[in-house]
Amino acid sequence: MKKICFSFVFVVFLLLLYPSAFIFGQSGIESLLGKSLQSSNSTISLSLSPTNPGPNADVTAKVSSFQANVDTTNIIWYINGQKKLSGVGKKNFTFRTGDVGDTITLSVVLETEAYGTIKKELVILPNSLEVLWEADTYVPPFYKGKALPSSQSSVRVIAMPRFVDQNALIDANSVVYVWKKGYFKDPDGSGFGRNAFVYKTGYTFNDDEITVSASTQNGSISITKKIPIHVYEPKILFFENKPLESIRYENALVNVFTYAESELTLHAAPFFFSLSDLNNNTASFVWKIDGKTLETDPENKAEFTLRKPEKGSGKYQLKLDVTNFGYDLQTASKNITLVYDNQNQ
Amino acid sequence: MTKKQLYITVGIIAVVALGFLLASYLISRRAAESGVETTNPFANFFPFGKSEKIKTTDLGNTDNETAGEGTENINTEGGGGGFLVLRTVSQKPVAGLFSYIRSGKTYVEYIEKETGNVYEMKMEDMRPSRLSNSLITRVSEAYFGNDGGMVVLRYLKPKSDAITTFILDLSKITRGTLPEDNATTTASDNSPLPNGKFLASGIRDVKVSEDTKGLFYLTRTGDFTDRLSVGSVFDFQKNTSSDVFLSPFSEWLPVYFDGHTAILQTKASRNVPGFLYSFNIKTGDLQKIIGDISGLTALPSHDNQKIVYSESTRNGVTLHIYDRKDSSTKDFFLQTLPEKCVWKKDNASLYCAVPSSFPSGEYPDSWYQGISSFSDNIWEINAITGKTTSVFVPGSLTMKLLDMTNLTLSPSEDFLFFINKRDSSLWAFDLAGGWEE
Repeated sequence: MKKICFSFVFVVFLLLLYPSAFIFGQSGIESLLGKSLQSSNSTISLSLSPTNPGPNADVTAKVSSFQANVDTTNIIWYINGQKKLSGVGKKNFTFRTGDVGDTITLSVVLETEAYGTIKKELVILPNSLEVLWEADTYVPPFYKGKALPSSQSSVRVIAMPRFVDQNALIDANSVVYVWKKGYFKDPDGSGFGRNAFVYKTGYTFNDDEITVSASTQNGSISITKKIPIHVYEPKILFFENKPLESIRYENALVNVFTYAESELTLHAAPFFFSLSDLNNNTASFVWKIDGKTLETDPENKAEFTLRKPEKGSGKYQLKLDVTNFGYDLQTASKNITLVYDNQNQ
Repeated sequence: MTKKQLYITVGIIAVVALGFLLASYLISRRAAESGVETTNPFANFFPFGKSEKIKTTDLGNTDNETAGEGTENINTEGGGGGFLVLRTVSQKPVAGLFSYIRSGKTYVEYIEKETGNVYEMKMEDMRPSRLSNSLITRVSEAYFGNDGGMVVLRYLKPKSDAITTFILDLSKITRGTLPEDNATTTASDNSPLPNGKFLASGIRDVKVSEDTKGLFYLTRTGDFTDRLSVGSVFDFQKNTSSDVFLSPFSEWLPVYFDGHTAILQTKASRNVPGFLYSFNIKTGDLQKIIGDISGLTALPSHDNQKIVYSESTRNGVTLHIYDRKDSSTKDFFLQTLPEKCVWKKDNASLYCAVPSSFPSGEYPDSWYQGISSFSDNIWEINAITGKTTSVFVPGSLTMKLLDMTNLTLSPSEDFLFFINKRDSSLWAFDLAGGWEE
C-alpha cells in the first residue's frame, strides 16, 4: 500500500512538473515533422511601436494571431534574414533601425501545432518627421533655457522631415504639409513647402494640439505627428543690476533681499511675455514701494534704483505689476521685501 | 573589590568591546553595500574596519544618494606647494577661464567681469598677474580661443538687451612675467592696448571648437514669422567669418564644435521634449542623435562619441550617457546637469558637480532662471564601466556653498577649475593633491 501511495504521489509530482510531457508531447513532434511551411500573412498581424519608426530608433515589434496562441507557440524573429530571437511566447521583439534610407526586413515565424509554420514579413524604411516649436516671448539675454508660450502669444511650429526616396534625401521644401490646430485644418498655412506654421496660443494652462502631416509629392512617404503645446503663465523675476558687474542673471532675488550698498538697482525680467524688446513695447511696468506708485525712467522701465537711508535699519515692500496691453491675460505681479541695516555694517 | 564587583566590571568591559566590534563590523558592511565612501571611526582599531578612501559605486545602484556626510577628499597628500586642495583663484566675479601649461607648470587665465581685465595665475604660487589694461567693462561671458591667443567677450549695451560680442587679441600680451613681490601686479601702463574686432551684433550663443581654433556662433534674421537661424564659424587664425548653417528653427544651443561638426541642442525646459542634432558643416546634413527627452541638456565628449545628458523628472533630473558607437545608454543614480560636468581627455570618464540635493522647482528651468542654487560635490563617472566615485566634498573645506559651473580641467588634469554661480568667483581643486587645513 505504501508503495502504491508513493508511486501515486510521484506521478502527480511529475505531472505538476512536466505536464506537457504527458499531454502535448506527441503533437509537438508532429508539428515539426508533418506540416509544411505556410506563408499565410492574413492569420497573424505584426505591429510596431512607434508605428513609423525613424532612423536610429528603438522599435518594439509585436506579433498577434487570432488562430494561434502566441503565448504557447515557438516564435522566431529575423532581421534581414538573420535570426535574432526565438523561443516560446516571444511575442515581442525590440530592435534598432539604421540610418535614414537603410531598409530593414523584419520577419517573424510562428511554429504552430495546428497550422504549421506561419510567416509574416515587414519592410521598414526609416523616415522621420520631427516637430520643433518656439514661442515669441521674452527671456533675458544669455538665457540657456527655452522661451515658453503664454496666453495669446505667437508660436511657430517647424516640421523637419527626413524622407529618403530612391536613395536620395528629399528637400524639406519639396514636401507637402497639412497643418491642423485642434480638429481644424489650416488651409492657408498648409501646402507645398509650408514646413513652418504660426499660430496664436489659447488660454493659460491649456494645451494647444498641433497636427502636421508631411508627404512626398507622389504620396509614397507620409508621416503624421501630433504635438501638445502647453500654455504657461508669464512671470516676473528680479535680479540685481550691479554698477560694475552688470545684471546678475545667475541669481534671482526671491522674497527677501538684504542690501548693503548705498543704492540698489533692481532689474525685472518679464519671463514669457510677448515682448520682443524690453523697453520699446506697449507693456506697462508699475513699480510700487510700500503701496505708493513710483516714478520710473520710461526709457528703462524694467529697472528701479532704491537708495538706502543713511541711518538706521528697516525694510521696504516693493511690488511690480506688468500688464501687456493687447494681450488680456498677459499680466503678472511680483513682490519683494528689501531689507537694509546700517547698524550691523 | 568583591568578586561580584569584579564580575560586573569585566562584564561591562566585555559588553562595550562587543559593541565596538559589532558597530565597526556593521559600518564597514554598510559602506561596502552602499558603495558610498564613508569614514569608519573604528577603522584603525579593528582589522576588518579598514577601508580604502575611495569607494566606488557600481552602475545600477539606484540609491538616490549623492556624496554625503563622511566622504573624504581624494588624495590629500602630495605636492601642491603648501596650498589647500580647494583654492579660491579669484573672489571677484569671473566671466570665463582658460588653463594651459608653460614650462611644465599649470596656469589659469581668466577675465574679470567688472573690468574685463585678463589675469594669469601660476597654480604653483597662486599669485595673480594682470596681463591687460581694461578695454571693456561689465563682461557677462568670456571664451578663450586660439590657445589663449584670443578671447571672446560678451556684454550688454547699457539699458538694452542687445548682446555685443568682441574678440580681443591677446597674442601680443606678455605672459609669465611674475612679480618679485607678493602683491597683485598690474600690466604696465605703457603697454599697448590689445587689438580686437566686433563680431556680428545679436549673437545669441557661441561655442569654441575643441582645438580652440574656431568659434561657432548663432544669430537670427527676419521677423518671427519668417525667422531663420544662421550658424557661422569664425576662424581665430584667419580672422574671418563664414556662414555655414541655416535653419527655420532658431532656439538652438551649440554644445560641441570640432571644426567639422556642430552638436546642436534644442533649448531646454522641463516639460518640453528636447532633441540633439549633429550638423555636418561639409555636407550640410542635420541628423538627430537623441530626442523626445523631456528637458534634455547634453554635453558630448571631446571625440564626440559619448554624450552625457540629463532628463527632467518630477523630482529633478536623471543622468545618462549615450554611446554613439553602439547606440547604448547607461543610466546613473547621480542627479546633475551636464552643464556641471567636464569630460577628461581620455573620453572615458568625466567629472561632474553633483548637487547634494535638488530644492523644489522645475529643472533645468529653475536653475537657469537663478531661482534655485545648488551646493555641489564632485564625482568622477566612468562612462565605460559605469562606476561612480566620490572625489571631493567642499563642505569639509569651506563654509561657502558652491554651485559649480564652467568646469574646466587643466591640460595635465591636475587641477579642476570652476566658477561658483552664486557669486561668479573662480575656484580650483587640486586633483593631484594638496594640503588640507
